Amino acid sequence: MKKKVMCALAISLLIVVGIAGPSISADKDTLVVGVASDIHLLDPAVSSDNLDWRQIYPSYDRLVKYKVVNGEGSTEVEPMAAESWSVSPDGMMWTFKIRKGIKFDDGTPLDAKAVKFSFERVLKIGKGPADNLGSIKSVEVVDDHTAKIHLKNPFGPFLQTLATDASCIVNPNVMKHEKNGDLAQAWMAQHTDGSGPFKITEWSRGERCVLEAKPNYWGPKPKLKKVIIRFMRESSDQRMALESGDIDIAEEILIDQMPALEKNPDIAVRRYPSQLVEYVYLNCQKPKVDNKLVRQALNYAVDYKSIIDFVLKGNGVQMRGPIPKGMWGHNPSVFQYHRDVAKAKALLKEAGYGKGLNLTLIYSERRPTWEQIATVLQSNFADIGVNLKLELMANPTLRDKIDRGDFELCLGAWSPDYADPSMFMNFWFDSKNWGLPGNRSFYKNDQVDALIRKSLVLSDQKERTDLYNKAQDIIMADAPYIFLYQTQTIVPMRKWVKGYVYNPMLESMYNFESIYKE
Amino acid sequence: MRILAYILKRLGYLVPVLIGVTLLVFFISHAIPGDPARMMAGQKASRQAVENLRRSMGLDRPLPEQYVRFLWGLFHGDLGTSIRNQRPVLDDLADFFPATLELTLSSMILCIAVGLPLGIISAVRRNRPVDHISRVFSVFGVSMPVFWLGLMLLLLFYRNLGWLPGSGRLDVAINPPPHVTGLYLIDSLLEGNWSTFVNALRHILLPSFCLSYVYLAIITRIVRSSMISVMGQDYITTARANGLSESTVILKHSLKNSLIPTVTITGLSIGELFGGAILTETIFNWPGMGKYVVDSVNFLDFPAIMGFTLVVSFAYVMINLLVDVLYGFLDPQIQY
Amino acid sequence: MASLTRKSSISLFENYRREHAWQIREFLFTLKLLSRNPSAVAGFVIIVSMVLIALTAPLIAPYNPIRISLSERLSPPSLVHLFGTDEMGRDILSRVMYGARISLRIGVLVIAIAGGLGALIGAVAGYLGRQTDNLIMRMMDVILSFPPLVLAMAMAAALGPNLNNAVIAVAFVMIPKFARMVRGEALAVKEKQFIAAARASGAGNVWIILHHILPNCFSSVIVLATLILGETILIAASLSFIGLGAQPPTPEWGAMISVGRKFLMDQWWYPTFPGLFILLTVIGFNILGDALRDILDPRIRR
Repeated sequence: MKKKVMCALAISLLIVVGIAGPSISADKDTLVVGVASDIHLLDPAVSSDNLDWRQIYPSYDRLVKYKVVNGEGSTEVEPMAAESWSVSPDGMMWTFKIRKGIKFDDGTPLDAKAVKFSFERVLKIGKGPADNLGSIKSVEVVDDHTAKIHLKNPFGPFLQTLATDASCIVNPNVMKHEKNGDLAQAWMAQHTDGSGPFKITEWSRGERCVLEAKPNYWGPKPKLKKVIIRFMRESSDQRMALESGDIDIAEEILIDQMPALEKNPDIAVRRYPSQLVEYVYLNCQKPKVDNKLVRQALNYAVDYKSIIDFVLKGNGVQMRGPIPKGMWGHNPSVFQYHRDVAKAKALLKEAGYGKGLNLTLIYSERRPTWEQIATVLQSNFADIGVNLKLELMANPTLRDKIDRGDFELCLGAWSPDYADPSMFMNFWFDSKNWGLPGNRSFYKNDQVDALIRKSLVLSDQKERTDLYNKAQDIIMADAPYIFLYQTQTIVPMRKWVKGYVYNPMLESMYNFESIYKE
Repeated sequence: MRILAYILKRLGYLVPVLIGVTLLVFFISHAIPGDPARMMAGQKASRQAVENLRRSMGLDRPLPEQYVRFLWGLFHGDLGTSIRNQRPVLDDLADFFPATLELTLSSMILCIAVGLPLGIISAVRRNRPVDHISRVFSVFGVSMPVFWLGLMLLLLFYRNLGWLPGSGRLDVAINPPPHVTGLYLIDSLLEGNWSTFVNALRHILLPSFCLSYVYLAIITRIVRSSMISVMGQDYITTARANGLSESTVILKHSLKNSLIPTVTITGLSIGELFGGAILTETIFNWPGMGKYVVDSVNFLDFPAIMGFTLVVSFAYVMINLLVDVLYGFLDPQIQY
Repeated sequence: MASLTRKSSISLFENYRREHAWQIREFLFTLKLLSRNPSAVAGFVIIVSMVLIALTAPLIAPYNPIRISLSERLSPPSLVHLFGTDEMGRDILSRVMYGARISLRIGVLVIAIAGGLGALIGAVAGYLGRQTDNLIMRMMDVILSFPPLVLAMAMAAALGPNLNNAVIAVAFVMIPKFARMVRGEALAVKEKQFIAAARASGAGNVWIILHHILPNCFSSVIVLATLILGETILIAASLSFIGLGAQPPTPEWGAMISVGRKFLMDQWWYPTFPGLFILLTVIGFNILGDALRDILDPRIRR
């Protein structure tokens, strides 16, 4: 009796331990991407999260799309659903000619009416994505395939904003799912109805999201048939899955594990300079920090190189000025702070804090690097006599404090929504944008305001660059932020994944329509 | 008939407790910092939009009226809307419930399948090595930080031995079975897909063991002590004297009478498992309600947290009531 | 006639001292039994060690627990760092030792608050009886209707994620256990002679509760506290693990495991040692508590 039981146990154990299932990713037509967190919602008019856009973007068409130049993502745009366009001499009216023959899944044509509907919907709902389209006053349907967009004021970057996720063209028929005047938000949170190359066919929360290619897409047909977005929170799981070939691309593997991955002959660890920057807000409206000398001293105290070496393992570049390298308008000769403990101490003494200073830095777990940065800053500041208290809090609480200006120092991360230096210069420094909208240091300088506001309405790149350069000089002296670094985006993937194009405007998003496996 | 009266009495007692539960949750949710209307509308919404939302959520009403609205909503299954997912919390919980159910049920089965025999053996071979080992096991069980146990299991079986997978319900490469119950083990059998079944089994082993460990220890102890006390009783000695074989004595008489406390503890444990599931699901990335509420905590998605708390405590109260009644059925000595 | 008046004139003070003497005798007897019980001794040794570690951590910890040394980050256990280092190069052994201070402090605070409030509530309920008793016990039942971790989590989330709020949340969850027990004792004690005597000589309810009821429950409160301390430490560590109690970089055991979890695969030592200490501490309290309860069980004492 005992022996039989033992046998049965042994056999079942063997079965359980032994059997593995068939591997999907040996399948050439299916791409599996391992991502760290669940997606929240699918409505392009509501979601401000790149992680949601990853699924939304390929499901819809937009008027324009980013070019691919020499296999690299460019910040310039080319026609997508719009065949051509023109702008009036005063910059206030854009006319778009819409391509004929594009249809949504239920047969509704993508025409000027659909374009008008989509933009008006985003603006009416008025959540995060509406910011990008804030310059739009009205959309006029001239005829079925011509739409005129009237702007409130001339806006240089307007065309770039049409390639963002907010500008997805949605089927007007989604309104049949509207409930209680919500403009179909409840339905759109969980479904997509676009004309893009993919559509979402399955979404098991917490497990995976499946996109399937549309065989009758009007544009270049996707080479993949299916994309599976697989939620795997643990970096170690993603790594094992990537190494065994169960997933093709891993989105979030800890930086420490990269060297081991690079040794793996089947895996390519691709690195791209990104526009994602991390920096410190110095609240210019709070006592002590409102003193320019104090802010300069703090800037001189930071050991930028150490932070990049240890926190990013060298995968980053110290910011030079507020506009990151790779964005036009970046000034390679503007002043840059370096660690100079003596100078920092002298500045503090001059400011009257020779005996020491107590400050508090707040942060959350939104970025994995923040805790490490905070601890290094604490140590760096201690060297100049500043006692930095660290306060970790939940992200929504943090955002609330930022909005109200209830902090002295705070860690931040930022990436541009569209390819224009105003995403940094105007958002960060215009006194109109105090708080969460962008000017999180509550900085106010009338000269800077004048320079950046003028630059925003001009369309000549050289003129704008000149104005921004002048503003940058003032800014570096005023030191309202500590500019830490711009990161590299690291994407580990199996070598058989081809055609991936990284676009600094599309972080965490993949060009599924042109990726293929071989 | 007496049973019926008892059930009715208990039900009558239940209602004020449930109302108390809703009151407590209501109070807690009003201790939350930040403005719920602002949180729902989003950071960038206009002041007007936030005001409109506040009015439609009834937040400008006096507290008692808000409470009544809250209760009314509960009757209609409205547990609030998740901030991060912008959908009803009830829908979210319903999505994640099957995974938690599967984990809880398999843990229960493991508890009984291992706890019962272990307790019996301990009782029968009292004070021998087996007994001592199981007693140590019990102490460890009650003292074990569940999340740490999960990590140690992962270290041993996933990293070092590589025998079992480390997270999720299925391998990446496998498609989930067609949805019938939402429990992969059952659905894959219904589909007739053996390899999916085995894969799901491999994934559920570690989390179930981790979750069940504490109650395994408790059940073992309870079974052991109740069997010991039963075995010392007169009628057992009589049965032995009458020449009944040892196994009959053990199985037929002792066991039946030990079942009562076992059932009690098993039932109570189901409710407790909801607490432990929070930690186990987090460690093993098991996409169930526990992981959902931890994600909600990290996001400070208060409607989701409160909705979860309500649902779980209601279930806990109901299960306790059920166990009480069951107890009454099983033990003929209970007087009502 | 004369004997009656003499009885009723026995001063309350005498009664009190008589009760006290009995208690002292019982206490010494308990200690003797405990010292004979191997698991009690083991538990006691563990707890005393933990307390010693907690108290002397600033003296005996080899490194400053918040000292960063980025060049030594994530190094395995060695002679230099017995438990290895974490992702900022901090010595894990030192952090675990300081963690003992935090965990024990949380435990003591929670027990003090829950025990104090719970005992008071229970005494009032038991002594006053009837409606008050009903009402109070129903409220306690409501609290007990939640799985402890779930309620603590909801409260801690609402109050805000920090250590003090976690203490409040866990204490709240533990109050009913004390309340129930003390209520039971109060129900028994209130029938005793000296209570009637006290009332007869005009003592108010509050005085009686504070000076007679509560002191009589003292030993059972202690036993319950020991049994609950283990559970308290577990719940507090679980809250920190979820992200609701102590926040990193505080060297609290649960918070350390929460961060260390990311590094489990390649740096096994990081989450392992803090958890081991949680396990040991809770085992210590549990076996001591069990032994204490067994010893104080009247059936065994005979």
